[in-house]
Amino acid sequence: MLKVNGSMFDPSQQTPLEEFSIQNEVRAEFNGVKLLELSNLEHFNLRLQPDNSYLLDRLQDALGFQIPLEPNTFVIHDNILCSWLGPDEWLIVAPLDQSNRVEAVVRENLTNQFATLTKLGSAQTIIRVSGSHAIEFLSRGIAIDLDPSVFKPGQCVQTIMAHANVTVLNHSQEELIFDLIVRRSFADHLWRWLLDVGQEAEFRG
Amino acid sequence: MVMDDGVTSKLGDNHYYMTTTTGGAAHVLSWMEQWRQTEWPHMQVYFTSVTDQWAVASVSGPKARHLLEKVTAGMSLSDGEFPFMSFKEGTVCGVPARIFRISFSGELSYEINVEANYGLQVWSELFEAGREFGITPYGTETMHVLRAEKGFIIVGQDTDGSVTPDDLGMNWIVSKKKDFLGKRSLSRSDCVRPDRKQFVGLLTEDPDVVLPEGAQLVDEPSNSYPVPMIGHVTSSYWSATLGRSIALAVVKGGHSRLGAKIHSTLMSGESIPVTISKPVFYDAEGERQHV
Repeated sequence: MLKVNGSMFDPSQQTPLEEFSIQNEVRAEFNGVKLLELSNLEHFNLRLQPDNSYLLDRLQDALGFQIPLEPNTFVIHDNILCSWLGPDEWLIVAPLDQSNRVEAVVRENLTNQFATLTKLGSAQTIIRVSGSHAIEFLSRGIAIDLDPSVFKPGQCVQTIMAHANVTVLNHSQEELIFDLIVRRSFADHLWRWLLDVGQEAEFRG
Repeated sequence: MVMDDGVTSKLGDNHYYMTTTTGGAAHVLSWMEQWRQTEWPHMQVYFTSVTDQWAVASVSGPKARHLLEKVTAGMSLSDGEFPFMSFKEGTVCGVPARIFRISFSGELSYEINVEANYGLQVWSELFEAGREFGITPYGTETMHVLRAEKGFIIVGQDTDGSVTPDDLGMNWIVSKKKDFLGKRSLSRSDCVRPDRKQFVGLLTEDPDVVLPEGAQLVDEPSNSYPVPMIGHVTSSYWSATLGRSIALAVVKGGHSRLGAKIHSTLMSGESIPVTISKPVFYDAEGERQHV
């Protein structure tokens, strides 16, 4: 699971959901469901050719983990997340205190390679949905079967939730934990929609 | 055909930043992806959407440079060192920024791009710093009027998917040397007909009358139907700067009919006499932005 500390990183920055923040956190709690914006993170889009084993090896040495080639999976190493998005596309998420190092070591290896690294930390945000009712809660807006026998921990999926494109990551271990990655311009809509789901009798408690 | 209208900037030897019209971004991205993947797979190019990553504030007007001087920490801003259609990287209000000297208003203008997390802070600080210059926000209606005074098109409003750069009088933007998608089409007989609908300005005889957008244009009003239609009004506004109404239109063979009197028809059956003009109503020499 990607660990975050709850405090806001830089008072001059405004995360996509900051208008909902209470005491520097964007969170909500319902019966069996908790919502939290993971805000102090940098996001990168990585593109490279999956048959470029030279570059994949170099990146593995630099980052300390192997970039996942298995579709719809992600890895977390040293609190850095790398998620498969397509045959030649990945998402890397790193805490702000590590993101400069991650960016530097990746960029260094991309020189003269057909590959790109693009910062997207302001372009999207992560909403963590956890708790015993998390699957029922998410199923109000996601058609994908989230049952752990089908959608396993360590898997990710790109789908639509309440009309918004989302990437869903399954971090569940003892507790059910899912992350929704959503574009900035849809974050406000999705958060309000999630709050609305929380008003249903089942989650009102 | 003209499918979009944007600005492409060269950030590095193999690094470009492309903006499009707001509603056109997804279409342009998938168009480029389609060509790269199906026709030009040998090209080593990746596209990444950064629409949500950047927040942009456009600082426009004769005092724009004074404001930029206050907030850019010693950046060279003179016309010689930071000319029109160029960009610089630096800081604005202490925040890393890409600044583009481009303009949709026809005024001296800087488009300040910062990571969206800093957007509100930079906007607020620009506002504070701009108070001594009488800074004011402007919305899309003002933007529409300012761009129409300059004859700048809005794709999808002044064009409809059947309009070529020639029809817009924008032949200058089309390369005479390079090959490109659509080059062959531009020389097809239908695309060089002299009576194609061409982009022009319209000035009403009565300066207080603002034409309805979408109104049909005819040479002579007549009760003998059907009256041959020769074009339509694409944009129409009251221009406070010029103290009169202005309109943009497409008119058959319009480029060779400057000064001709035609009529705009109304639903009521009445018609309004108008004169075909060039589509640039204000500062045709561009003196306000080349300073």
